[in-house]
Amino acid sequence: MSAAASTETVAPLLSVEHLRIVAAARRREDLLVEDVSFAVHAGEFLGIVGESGCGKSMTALSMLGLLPGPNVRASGGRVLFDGQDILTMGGSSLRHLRGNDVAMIFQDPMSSLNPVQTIGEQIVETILLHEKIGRERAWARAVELLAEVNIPAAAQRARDYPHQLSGGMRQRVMIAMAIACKPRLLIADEPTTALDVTIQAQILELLDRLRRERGMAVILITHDLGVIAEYADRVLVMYSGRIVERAEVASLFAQPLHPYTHGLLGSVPPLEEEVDELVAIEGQPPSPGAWPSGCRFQPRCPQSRPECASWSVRLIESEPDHAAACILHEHGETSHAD
Amino acid sequence: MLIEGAAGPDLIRVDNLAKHFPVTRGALLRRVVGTVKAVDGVSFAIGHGRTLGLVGESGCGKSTVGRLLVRLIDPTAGSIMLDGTDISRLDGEAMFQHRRNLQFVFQDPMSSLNPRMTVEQIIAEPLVVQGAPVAEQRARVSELLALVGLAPAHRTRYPHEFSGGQRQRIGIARALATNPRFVVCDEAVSALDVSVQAQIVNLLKRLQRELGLSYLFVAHDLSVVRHMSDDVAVMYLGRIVEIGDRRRIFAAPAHPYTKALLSSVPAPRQSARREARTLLSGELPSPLNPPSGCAFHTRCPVAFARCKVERPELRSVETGQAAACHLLD
Repeated sequence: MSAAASTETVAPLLSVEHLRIVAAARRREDLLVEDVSFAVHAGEFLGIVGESGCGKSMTALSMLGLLPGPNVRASGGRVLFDGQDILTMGGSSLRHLRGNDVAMIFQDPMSSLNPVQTIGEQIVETILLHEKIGRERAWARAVELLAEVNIPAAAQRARDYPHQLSGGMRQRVMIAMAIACKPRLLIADEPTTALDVTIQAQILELLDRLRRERGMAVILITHDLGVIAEYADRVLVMYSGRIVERAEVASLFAQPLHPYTHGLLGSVPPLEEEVDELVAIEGQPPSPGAWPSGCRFQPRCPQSRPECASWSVRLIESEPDHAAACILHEHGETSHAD
Repeated sequence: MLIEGAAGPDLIRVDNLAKHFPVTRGALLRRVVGTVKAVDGVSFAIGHGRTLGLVGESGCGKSTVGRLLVRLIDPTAGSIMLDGTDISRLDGEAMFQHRRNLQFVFQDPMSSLNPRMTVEQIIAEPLVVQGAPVAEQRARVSELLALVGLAPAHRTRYPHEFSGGQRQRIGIARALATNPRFVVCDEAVSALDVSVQAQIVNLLKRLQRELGLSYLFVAHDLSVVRHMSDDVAVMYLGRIVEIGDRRRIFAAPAHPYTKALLSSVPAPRQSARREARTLLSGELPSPLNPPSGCAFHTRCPVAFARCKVERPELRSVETGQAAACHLLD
């Protein structure tokens, strides 16, 4: 557990405040993300978990000013990195931010790599974009970076093209490229979803090692609660564009507060024990534009009540560092204001 | 080495099954430059109403085994006994008679459902092929929709109108149309969101109980495999390295690869924060040029000299558990 997670006095590296993202299509505007607020501190490992369409990837893209505009845009809130609002940044400050301060890796490394350029050249390009050094020195750095992400025979592999590498190796190359300019925050969006479990374990260990060695903060976006349990310090659970639970990882698994989190945990068959039937959540996540009023989980919630449909949704902190957006926890609200 | 089905005679019995794909070069003058032994001498049995889980990393041949069993592709060698009849060499009319008993549920329901057919047409298609009368087809479709948890109103809709989970229900309904006895589920829940995945897993288990189906459940997600299966087989580069009762395999894995696989799975429990994890070094070798001896020796943390030269055979470890490793001698 990183020390930064609990020291609220230290200014966070990144703070997202009331972020709202909409998608405009023809004459309608659909909400994708609403009222999302959280902070990430230096060296912290934050997990964001949720199913497809919950807004986790859109939230991540907004941190790099990479929302697929002009139809998808942030229509409210702020994303502050070191006190500067990324949402209002212009082209040149954004370019400086990306790579130098914030870097990102994606699920499918093949679509992020240039197929007709060697991986060494691609890393060199990244380095030269941000630093004024000679090509030869940049190449040496690229080889060092490849070695740092555990690519064997790095000097030779640097001359390989992406298709000559396996999926796991390609993801390592993406990580090498992402850390080339020593970013302070690395966002990893489902980085291991396409990989086999044994390779997934290697990649996650690598990310965690780089975080420790470089004091870099990591935001890991995943649908896999197991990955969260093993690596994250803190977790955000997202559902239909909102954060429904925010917790230290230990308390999330010890005592999940939101019925959705409960359902997610019940949906995963345990590896060490046997259960007869999984506690599945009925129905499916609603798509953006079709979100119900009030609590968006209420139509699928086993504990829903009539009031849920008109409840003004907000995160309620029922103990320090553990909050859930559920009417069931409303009674404790006055003592721990959110 | 075969693991005996617990109850009575087996529905499916596979012996020394192999599938070798030729690797060719050149467009005009195609010549064979090698073979990929995607499946190389695989044997197992599946009892009535039971599930064999087949796990392994990508490229290990698990999906090829599934496709061989329903004769989507032809085996290079070996036999597939369905209720005592060897179907591995049957074709034409003789095979047609058996097809209704062998069905397949695919990973991606979107690409395995024809976008221009209605749900009714999709589910009825196997019945059309089998020559069922129209009235019977209609009645059967209604029955199947109810069975997999879809509404009668869904029958006139098209696949794109459904969510991933519902599409998988359509795929399952189609597979069950001919009243099969054996269904191959190839990564049938892998593409689904976690909450929906649990629904489909529960559905498959309920259908098995109600209809007495036997499954080959091919998947890479070990916790789902454990939940679904009676027996589990672990494959590595075309061969089974460990096979046996689910409880034995998960509680006391004997093969170093099974151990590594199990310890690679991140568990959604706080108690399970990574401490004693066996990280495998390296990656899956190319199936074009597999390592000599035990194919796993290049990544095995406990390999010794003999592993490089001699291939270990499956041998019994405990009752209902066999593994292929020299350390078990």
